[in-house]
Amino acid sequence: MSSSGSTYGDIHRYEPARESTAAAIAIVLLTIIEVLFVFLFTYGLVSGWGLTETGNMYLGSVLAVIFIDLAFILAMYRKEFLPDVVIVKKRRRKWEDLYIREDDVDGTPFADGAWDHVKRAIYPYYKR
Amino acid sequence: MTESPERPSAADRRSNPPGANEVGDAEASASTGGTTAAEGGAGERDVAPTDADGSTEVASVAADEGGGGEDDLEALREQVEETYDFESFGPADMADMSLEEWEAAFDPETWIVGEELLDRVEQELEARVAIREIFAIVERVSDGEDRVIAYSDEGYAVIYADGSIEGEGTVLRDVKPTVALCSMDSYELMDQPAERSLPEPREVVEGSGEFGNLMLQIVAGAQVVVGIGLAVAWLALPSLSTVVAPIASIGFLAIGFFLFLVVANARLSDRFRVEEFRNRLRALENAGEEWGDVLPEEARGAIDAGSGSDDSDGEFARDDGTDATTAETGSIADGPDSDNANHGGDPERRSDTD
Repeated sequence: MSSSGSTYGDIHRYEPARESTAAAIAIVLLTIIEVLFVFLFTYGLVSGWGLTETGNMYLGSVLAVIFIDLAFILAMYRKEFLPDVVIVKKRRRKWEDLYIREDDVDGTPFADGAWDHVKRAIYPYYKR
Repeated sequence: MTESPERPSAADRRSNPPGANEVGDAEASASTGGTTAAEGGAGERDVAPTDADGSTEVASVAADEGGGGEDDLEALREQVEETYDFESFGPADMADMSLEEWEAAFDPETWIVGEELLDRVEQELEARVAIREIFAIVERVSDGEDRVIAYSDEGYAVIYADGSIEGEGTVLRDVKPTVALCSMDSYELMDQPAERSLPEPREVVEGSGEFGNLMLQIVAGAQVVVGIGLAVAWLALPSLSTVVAPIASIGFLAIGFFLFLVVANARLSDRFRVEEFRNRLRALENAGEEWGDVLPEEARGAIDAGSGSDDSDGEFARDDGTDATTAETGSIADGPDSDNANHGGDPERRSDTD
């Protein structure tokens, strides 16, 4: 309704990534930690650390560090190392688009009566 | 309520007899365009602000020409104030109101118009272009008549000192609420932007930094190496008999594959998007050449030719985005549009205009 004129896919803004120095240093450190812990986990797994109780917990913690670190790397990458792009997308209908007038706030009923609702939910083509 | 600031203008400048307006928007515009074309194109403007409700002017003209009807107006205004509760004013009340009542309740003095409006609109539009809420080139044209024009490959809008807008396409749609806001006294403008216009096509550089991609690739590489290593170890070493090693191996491989995919996607989409954006900016330059000077004539031509209302949506679709067709494609302004026909204004994009 609102968007007359097809501008779907138009790019409104395209700005290069910031790549600030702090972000660069942070992502390098995070990457080093990530690689170290990945190899540490593998080494521990292969050498059977997981067979003892504390070793098992230790391996679990290492794995947790790996995933959390990866999450931060991805967040940093998305925020600082990807361009800022604004693209026109199709505006989906919102609730407020459906009912312009106050009287129409409940819309047109889909079926009459609760039982009818059930029947239509089960078989959508029921007496269209 | 985006239409409101345009009404006083219509009321002020309409000098035709009311009968002419009742014929309908299209014919009225044709006749005014013909008769007043010599006045620097004053005629064509009347069409835009009134939109669908050509009859609004009739009432306003009647109010203006009432002459001694000042007292009547006052009385009617008081009556309207009594009848309607403006604290909780809904569409239903709006529908109940007659045109005379609406005109009486409406006070033109409350809106900013003239030079000041144009200044405000210009600054606001530039600010909005800077944050790319509107994608257009904004110019202030002072030859002949002072006005602000905004255009892109997707349409144009001309804002006159009296607050009337004409144009077509998405630019018109985006500019309209801005003008409405700027004409309100209580609205505070956005700050003047540092960069006043859209970038040059050549200045747009490919966006994603290779440094971030490199880091992501290192991580992905490590994951893949470890994944393969674990798989090999599970096959080779008899001590790794549990299911843990292959699962971890698959997990690492999946993560590594995903990260490589992210990098590939970033590079690929960057290349396409940058090209697309440059194309759009180039199209904008062309649109400027096409519309920049000829805008008033073009608009007049559109008035004369496109008298019918056109509600089709695909009107301005230009897939290549390179060729900006002229303004003659459609009716001027948005014609008798369904958006404006219901008195609730357009509920489309920004709720803060209400």
